[in-house]
This record gives sequence, C-alpha cells and structure tokens, in this order.
Amino acid sequence: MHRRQLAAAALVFLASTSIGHAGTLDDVRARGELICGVSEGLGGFSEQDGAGTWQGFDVDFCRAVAAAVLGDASKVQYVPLSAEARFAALTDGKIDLLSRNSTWTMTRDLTLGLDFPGTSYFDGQGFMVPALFGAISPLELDGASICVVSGTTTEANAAAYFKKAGLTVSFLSFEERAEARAAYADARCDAYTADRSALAAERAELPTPDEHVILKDVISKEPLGPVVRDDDPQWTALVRWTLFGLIDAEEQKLDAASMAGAGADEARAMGAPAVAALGLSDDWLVQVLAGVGNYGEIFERNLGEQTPMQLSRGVNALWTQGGILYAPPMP
Amino acid sequence: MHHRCPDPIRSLLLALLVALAFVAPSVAQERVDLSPRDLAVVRINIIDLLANEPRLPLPIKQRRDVLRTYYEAQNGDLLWLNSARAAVMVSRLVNATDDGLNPDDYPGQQLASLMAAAGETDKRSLAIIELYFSAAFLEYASDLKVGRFLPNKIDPNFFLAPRSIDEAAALAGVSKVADVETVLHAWEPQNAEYQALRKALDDYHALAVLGGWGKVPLGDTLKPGMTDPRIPALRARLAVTDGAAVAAPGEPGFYDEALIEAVKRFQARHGLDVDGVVGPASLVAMNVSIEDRIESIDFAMERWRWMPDDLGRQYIIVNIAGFELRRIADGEIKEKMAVVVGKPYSRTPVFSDAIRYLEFNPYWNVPAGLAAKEELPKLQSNPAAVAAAGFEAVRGKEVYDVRQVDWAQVTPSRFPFQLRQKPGENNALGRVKFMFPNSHDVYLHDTPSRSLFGRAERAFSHGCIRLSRPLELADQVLIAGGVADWSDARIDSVVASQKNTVVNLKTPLPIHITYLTAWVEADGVHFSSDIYGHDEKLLAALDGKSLAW
Repeated sequence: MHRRQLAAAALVFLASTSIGHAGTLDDVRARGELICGVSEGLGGFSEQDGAGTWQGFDVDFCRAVAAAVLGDASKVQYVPLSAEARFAALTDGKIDLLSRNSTWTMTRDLTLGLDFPGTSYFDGQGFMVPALFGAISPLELDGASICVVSGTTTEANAAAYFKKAGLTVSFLSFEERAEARAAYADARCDAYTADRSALAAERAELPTPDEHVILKDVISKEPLGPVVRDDDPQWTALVRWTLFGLIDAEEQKLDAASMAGAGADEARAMGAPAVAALGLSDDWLVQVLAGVGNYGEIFERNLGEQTPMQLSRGVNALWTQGGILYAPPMP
Repeated sequence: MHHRCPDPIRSLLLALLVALAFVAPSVAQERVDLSPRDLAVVRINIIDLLANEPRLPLPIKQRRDVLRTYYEAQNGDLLWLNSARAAVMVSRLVNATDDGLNPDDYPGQQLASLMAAAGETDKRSLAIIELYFSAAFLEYASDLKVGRFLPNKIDPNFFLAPRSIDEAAALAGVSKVADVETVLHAWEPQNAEYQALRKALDDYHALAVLGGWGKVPLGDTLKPGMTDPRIPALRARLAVTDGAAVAAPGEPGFYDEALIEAVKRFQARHGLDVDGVVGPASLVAMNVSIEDRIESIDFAMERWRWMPDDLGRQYIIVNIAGFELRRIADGEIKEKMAVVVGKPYSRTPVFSDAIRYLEFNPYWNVPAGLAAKEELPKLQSNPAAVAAAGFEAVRGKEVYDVRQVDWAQVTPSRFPFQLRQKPGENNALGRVKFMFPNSHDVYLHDTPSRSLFGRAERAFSHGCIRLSRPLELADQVLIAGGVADWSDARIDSVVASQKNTVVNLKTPLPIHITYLTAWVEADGVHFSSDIYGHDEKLLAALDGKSLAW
C-alpha cells in the first residue's frame, strides 16, 4: 500500500518534470492513428452502432483531431473508459486525448496533471419526470423519491438544491445508469436526476420516451470538453484550436459541403497560423470540416431535434444566436 | 437498499404508463360508465390506496390528506369516472393557452389517454385514474387562482405574500356542480381587470391565427398630410387593432384625417405622446409582434393571480409600468391620475398595504445618505442658500438654523443631525403626503416638479410615488377613510397655513402597488414598456431560470 503510494507520487513527479517535452503530436503522426478515450456508451455522445462503429458528439471530436493531424478523420482508435478510469488513462499515457463528457472543474484542472483546452458542450444537471405528473419546475417535487447514479456530484447537487428550497425529497441511488433508468421506468421513483444531456439519452432508451419530460430548470454548471495532459502545450494548442475551428467555422457558415468549393480557401486562410506553429498541413482545417462538419453539423447529427436525443441548441448556440458558444477569432 | 418483493402498485402504475403509449387521444371516449356496484368497488380501492399505499404517484401523494378527507367522507362521490366532467377537464388543460397558461405544463393528453384506456382496466387502476384527475384539477385550480410561481422567487422587487388555495373546498365544489367550466371559472381571479384580460387574450389569439399584423418599414417620421410609400403598410397595421380603413379613399399613400385618428388611438393605448406623428417610438411599438403582446397579457394575468382576492370595497391601485394611479369604489373607477414612479435603478416595489394617515405641509426628512453626500458640501460652502431653500438641522429635540452650525466640524461619517426641509413652496414632498407605513419607505406625495407629468414615460423618483393632482386625491381619500369633516375649503386653508398637520383615517384605505405591462380600457388593450425588466424575469422563470437564487 505504502509502496504503491510512493510509486504514484513518483509518477506524478515524472509527469510534472516532463513539462515542455512535446511529443504527443509526433507520437500520433508516427503511429498514424489517434488514441482517443471515450465513454463506455452514452447515447448521442459516444456509443457503438450495430456494426461496432463508434459514433456521437464526443467521437466526432476525436475524428476532428485525427483529421487535423493526419488528414483522415477515420484514423482513430477508441478506448472506452469508465468514469473512474478516464483521467488515469490519460496521465498514464494510454490515450492521447480524452473526449468523454468530462466536466471542467478547478480541482481537476489544477491537481490531476490535466489541461482542459475548452468547453465543447455546456451542460447542467436537470430532472426528468413522467408527463402525467404535469410538473413545471423541480420546486414542485416536494416529497418525491428521486433516482440518481452514485459516485458523482449529482446527488449532492440535488440535495443542496432541495434543502435550499425547503423541500424534502429522498434519493434512490444506483451504481450503474442502466439500473437507475430501469428503476425510473419501473415507477420505483418519481423523478430521475442527471446532467440534462444524459437525461436526453436516458429518455430515448425508455419504452415510451414521449411520456416523459425533462424540466427546463438547470441546477448546476457542467462545462464538458476534451481533456489532455498538461505537459504538452503544443498538443493542448492543437486540441484547443481544433475545437475553436469547429465553432468559428459555424459562425463563418463554412460547412462540410462548402469544402468542395470556395469554402476551402476560406478555411485554409482561417487555419493558416497553425501550419508553421504546430507543423500542420496547410489544409488541416479543410480536412477537419470535410471530415466531420462544423460544430453545428456535429451537434445536429448526434444530439439535435432529429435524433433520439431531441436536444435543442439552447445555451450551446453561437453567441450570435442567443447562446454562449464563443470562440476566439481566427486566423 | 430497496426491496425487491412483488409490488402490486408498481405493476399497476407501469400498466397505466404503458397504456398511455398505445391509445391515441383522438379516439378517447367521452366518459367511462360504471354500474353503481363497480363505482362502490372503485371507491373502496381509492380509500384503501390513500390510506395504505406508501408509494403513490407524486401528484397524488402530495395531496394525499385532502384527497383522503374528500373520498372518505360519506358524500365523497367519484368526480371524474361516470361523469362528463373528465372530458371537459381534459379539454380545459389542452386549451390552457386560453387561460394564459401553457398546455405543455399540464397532463391533458395523458389524462385523455388514461380515460380511453379506462374501459379495459381493473378497478384499482380506475381508482388511480380518478385520483390523477383530481390531482390535475387541484393543480390547475391553484395555478389559475394563485399563479404558477411564488412572486418573490421570480423577482425580489415583489413583496406579495405567497398564497394557496383551499383544496378541500375545491374538491367539494366539483362534487356540487356538474359543469367543471363553472367550477374552474370560480377559481379564476374574479376582478374585472383579470376577466377583461382573459377576454382580450381570446381576441389576440384569434388575431394571431389570422396572421397578426405586418411590420411598418422603418424610415423617416410620418406626419399628417404627407404622401409616402409606407403609408399603406401603416394603414394595414392599424386596421388590425385601431380601426384604420385598409383602403384609403383616393390616394393610397396619403396620410389622411382618418389615419391620424387611428394613429392617435394606437398612441393612447401604448403610453406614447398622442400627436398623430409616427416617429421612432410609435414605429417600434407598432412593430412589436402579436406573440410578444400576447406574452404581456399572459404576464399581466399571472401577476393578477398573485394579488389578494379581496382588494377592498374601496381602494387605491397604482400601476408602476403604466405610470398611473386609480381610485376604485364598488368596482368603478372613480379617479385616474398620472404619477411619477421610481427610476429603473431605484424601483418602486410591488406590494399591498393600507393608507393610514395624511400629512399636510409635511417636513421632508432628508435620507442620511443623501444628506451626507449631496447636502453637506452645500452646507459647508453656502449654508445661507441651504437655509433659504427651507432646510433646518435637528438633533434630539433641538432644531438648529443651518447657518448656526459649524459644518467644517461635520464629516459624511460623523453627521450628527437629521436634515429636514420645512413645509413650504419648495418642499420636495409638496403640500401633502399619504402614508402607509412600510419597510420600503414608500409613500404617495405632492411634488414641486410639475413638469415631469407632461412626459409620457415617468420614472424619475427615488422610489416614492409623486401625484399629479394630490389635493383632489386628499379630498377623496379623507372621505373614503371616514374622515367626514374635511371640506375642500378646509384643506385649502390648512395648506395655506403651511402648518404641519396630520390627519388619521378612521378606516385605513387599501392601496395596491402593481406592475402590469398590459391592461384593458374602453378603447382596447393598453400596453406599456417593461421599464423595470420585470417581464424579462418572468420570462426567464418560465424558461426554467430561477433568478432569485
């Protein structure tokens, strides 16, 4: 036990002394493949289809980074990771990039040897209830029993919220999402609380999704985004500007289809500074957009109203369209 | 933690939930008819569920006590099964927009599906269906009567006591009347203002179905007598709400007499200068979409639900957003007058109270902050001018001439005087103030700054309400307050004396300070701008953003 702690400490020490040892970009190039950590299966974000192909919002971000570095969005090896294992997999060097609905917090940013290059999805905790209840707000859930997945901050957030509101609720907690969902579907609890994007995924899995509503109230901030090690500023910059490139491209109305025409020149001009600075090919952003589309296209394809997730852009709309999505200008 | 033994209620609830998915509400039957024997069995099941079932669905669980009291009573008949009421209730929930509410917030479609499935279900499920209907009815009656939100949770500037409905009375009411519409109507706010808004809402919904109104293109100010290509659009816009003729006789682009009248009607309804000239402010108001106007009506209705049921036989009501005060007696408007209200950053709060006394020739006690910040420099540089403006300094029981104080010794943090302005011409409170002592230090008063009443938007005060015709109101309030021996002549002579005079009302007169951006008058719906941004907060709350925390 004691020895293992020492070993862990040594690892952290090694990690922190290797600052400036740029290498991830070269490693990925040499390997010809990006190793990307994703969830073990979360509807709309990262899941395998019937043929075993990974798809989802987080998966598309892996693909975007692969397109930026290798010019081919398909050159990704996916590593499904549990909530507990995800950060260690990154610091241990098992993956190049973590793209797994992870919340950016101060603790994680400052104490785990991680960098959060940006926010790709502004999420927040919410509630799902049967439509039959006619509830408008969580403040109408007095006396409710609420299903929740343990081991995250979800239950504590909800408990604090109801305590402040002077309401009494009880929690029924489960280790696995599937168990919590089954209990809710079974009417063993009155409501289900989780991040709203996760609730959308859970609702899609219920036998009668239309008979359940996700309340509009959001009771916590959950900025989700890609995560990298904090010892490689070049790699952090690449991931960051790939994300910003997706967002800025939507703002400039550059989409996948436009890369076949005049849009390609515009995208080339936008991405120009990264060519020399990060050693990318001059059409890196063209490859990203041609491979996965802009932010809006990724959102609509995986999470939008036409998908089982049925999520509206909400706060994840561009700042020019009433949302808070705001990427620094390019070039 | 949770037990896994067989759970009859769960399978029952599940069956009901699943039933929802497979029954199209369009084929829902109007009612479920049961034999007296079946009804008795359902009722026994209801009583058993309410008494013994620990895990009822939340809306039923939350109202367990009142439901139990109702259904266990000897005459606790079923309210929805075996009755045409259920179909009417469903239709009311589905058409909640008629009440200024959102149908998505109520389980209208779901209840219709349950009704449709009821024919094939067992008695215990029927019991749950009956209870779901009762719970939904109570929820809707409450939302109609006291609103969806606690006022102070939406907006810290609203100081209205949270209210709730008598649920036992509501259930008893249903059992006595076959027609649920009649029952629900009784749970709407009964005052004429709410009812007029509800009717106006119908009219606006009908207009919206017809496409509302088109925009008048922006451009130069349109004036009577002009000929302009935008005039037909102006005409069409006002034809929808203000009776302009769609086609002008003669030249279509000519701004004629009839159009001037329509423009003036519009301006009067929107708190604009009534001059028949279509400048930027009029254009902006005309181009507000019908959806946004409907929202203002919805918001005004919600705010009326927050108000006390009984406003009083006689009362004063101030609408901050409309810059207007009214005196009402026996349901009739006896007096209307322009008022000046607080600036957007010193908002007049929303609350109800009662006027207890009037003070003629009042002293104006300068608030400590204002005295230290604004008056002290003047006192130090030119005390004679401050004295000439009628100010004096009070310490304990002593009153000092401000010219006798050594103001050099006084600092903002060590200001041992109450500065006050004597009654007289220049007094900031004018000739009379109307007191309803409250924690917000808000009252009604006269003002020497008469010119402000000529403005269309009148938000200039520090929070108090300034009156355009204070002495007339004083006369009326004294009569309404049961103080009979105050004639006009006596008021005039007291004012002329410049002597500070307090008159207590025998009967306190209720006063309601409101914030409504839509209201109905004889010439149609009036709208005002949202000067304090309170509508925006209500909108945010409807969108799930609880701003109070």
